Amino acid sequence: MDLHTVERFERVWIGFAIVMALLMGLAATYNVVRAVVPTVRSSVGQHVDIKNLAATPFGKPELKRLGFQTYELYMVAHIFEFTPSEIKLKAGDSLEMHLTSADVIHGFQILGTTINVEVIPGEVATVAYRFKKPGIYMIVCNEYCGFGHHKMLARIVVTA
Amino acid sequence: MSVSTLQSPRADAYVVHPERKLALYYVVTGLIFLAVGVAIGPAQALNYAGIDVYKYLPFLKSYYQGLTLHGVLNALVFTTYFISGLLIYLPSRELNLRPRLGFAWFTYWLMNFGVILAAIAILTNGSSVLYTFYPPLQGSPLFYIGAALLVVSSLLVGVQTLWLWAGWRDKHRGQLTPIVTYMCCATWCMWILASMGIVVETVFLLIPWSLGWTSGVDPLLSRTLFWWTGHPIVYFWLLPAYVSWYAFVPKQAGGKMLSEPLTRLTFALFLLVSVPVGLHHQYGDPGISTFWKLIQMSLTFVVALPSMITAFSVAASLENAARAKGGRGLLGWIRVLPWGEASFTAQVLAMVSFIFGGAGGIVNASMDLNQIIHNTAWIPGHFHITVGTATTLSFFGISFWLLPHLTGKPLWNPRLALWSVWTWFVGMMVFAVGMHWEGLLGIPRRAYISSLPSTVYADGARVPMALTGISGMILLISAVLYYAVVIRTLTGRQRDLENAPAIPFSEILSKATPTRFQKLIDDLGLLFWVGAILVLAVYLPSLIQMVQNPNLVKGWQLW
Repeated sequence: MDLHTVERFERVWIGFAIVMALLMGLAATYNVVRAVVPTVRSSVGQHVDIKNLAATPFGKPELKRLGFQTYELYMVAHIFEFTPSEIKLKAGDSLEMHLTSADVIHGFQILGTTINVEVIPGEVATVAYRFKKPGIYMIVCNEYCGFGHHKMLARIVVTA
Repeated sequence: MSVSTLQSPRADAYVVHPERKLALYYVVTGLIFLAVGVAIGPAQALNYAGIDVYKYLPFLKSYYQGLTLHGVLNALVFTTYFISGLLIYLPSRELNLRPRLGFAWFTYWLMNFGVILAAIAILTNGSSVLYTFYPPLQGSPLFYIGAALLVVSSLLVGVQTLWLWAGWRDKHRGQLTPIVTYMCCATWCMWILASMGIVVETVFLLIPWSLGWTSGVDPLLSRTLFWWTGHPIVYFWLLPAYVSWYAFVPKQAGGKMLSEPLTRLTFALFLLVSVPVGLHHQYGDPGISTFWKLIQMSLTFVVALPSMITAFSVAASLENAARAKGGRGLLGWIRVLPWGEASFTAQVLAMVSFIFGGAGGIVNASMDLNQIIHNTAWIPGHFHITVGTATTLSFFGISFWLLPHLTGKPLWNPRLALWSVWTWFVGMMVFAVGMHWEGLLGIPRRAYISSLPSTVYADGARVPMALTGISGMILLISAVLYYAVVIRTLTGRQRDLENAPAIPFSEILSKATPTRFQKLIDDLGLLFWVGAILVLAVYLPSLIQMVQNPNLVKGWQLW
């Protein structure tokens, strides 16, 4: 095994690595920019006052119907629960969720979907999802928030 | 100048190279803290098997206190000690320059002081904030002061090493830095740039806030500064293993380092692009623009390249060594490698685990795929085969020659050492399968799930949970074997420094020549500033926006 052979293989390998990294990067960028996979949106730099959530849309955290198969949800995460803790939808409904926390950082993951958001006190996270299949979708707090963290669960019930 | 070891072995052991003692203290102190952290590990693994043993552990108030200890000691404390000892010792021996011992011992004791402060905070259940300590969860001031001192004392070790190197350069103008020193100094430069986030976060935000001097803290700004450091810290853990894979493992395999220029390029790349990538831990955060997340995602893919180069170079040097010893066939050469040597085997298994760890890392770095696994059990699955195996098992392997080298005491029971290596590797692989799998099923990371009814998660995850639980038991056995070897080696009575194993510096097949390019990347100061400009360019837009629109919230103690 001489050094020149090794160097030739090495160039091929590095070329392969560059192409692979490029493809992975482009695919991920496409999926995010075209919202193939929904990611968090927010008004950067705008906050809600968590000492006075009553004066904000989070004062009444509930599901609102906006139009045909279109819903909007304001949800508050606080130790150690989500309010509201159960949401009912029909298969095919689209849901736009706005989330904030009233105390510490929480997580918000809807199992069985690609929704996975950090819920930071004072910041408003917005994310949208269309529930195509009926079933019970579990919402899990996946950011450590204290002694009751593991019990912080909610659910979305989607009927046919 | 040789010193007789027969007359008074203890007193004279470190006369020729007193920095041996310094390195020994750093490394052994790190291993002691690791022993404590590792001892809690099986309870953590059992939690993810749905088995709650915390009620039988009266010295821990909660799962979360145990997890804080486990994470802080293993990931932050052990690594920092071991790396500080190794990365000041290797350059000082390669350059034949002695660090200023007074200052070196001061930094060692400063580090101890910091860790003791943080330990008091954690052990009294005053700071069960986990090793990410995101505010507004508010730990005790001792915790943040201790963490800051740990980081600052490691930086002082780094500055001292760079000082040694600068002294060497003054006397050797026009020459390229010797390879091991180059790798160590590049790592230190990267760590200085990387650590600025956590230093600013603790010193300017968290310490004043926890002392009650400020009434609120911005959780998003703190998180962002934390991840400025929190991602590149993994390269601070990994690069010392790379130093060994490039510079020592080839020699241990009976071969040579293949290409010095490429090795130098790899470390130069790490210095340039390790740090401006932290936002890929914050893809799910509101308050940060998607544009900057995607920019930092792209840079994360760039930092995968030097690791890909490493995979090739190190594997090629092993194949080269094996073929020189008569190994044949497409893969048959692997058989003639020295699998009986615990130090060699540990590090090759660490490399194997990093192939899977690196592949998983690419998934985590992809903003779309990350949506599925962010903050699930997948993540601890990932970092137990990266820092928990690629780094830790490499450090175990290094310790098998380093401890005898530093003390002059032969390795106790090399066969048992080999067993500890294989059980660690197998245990971590089983753990990784279990945890990645649990994560894909949506089970969250760091949650006390064993206290929940089995209908919540366990009923749908019996196989991966069983794997996780079994892996914890395998790792417990491994840790007992490893520490038996370490303790019996250190307490051995026979001491012969003159015949102690030397540092296994490899010969180099293709040496670097002082071309313009190699001279350019030999200037680590220049690379540091280019790296710093890159970091500021991708962080300042987000940071300035956060500072201009502060979102101050009060602290909470919820454990």
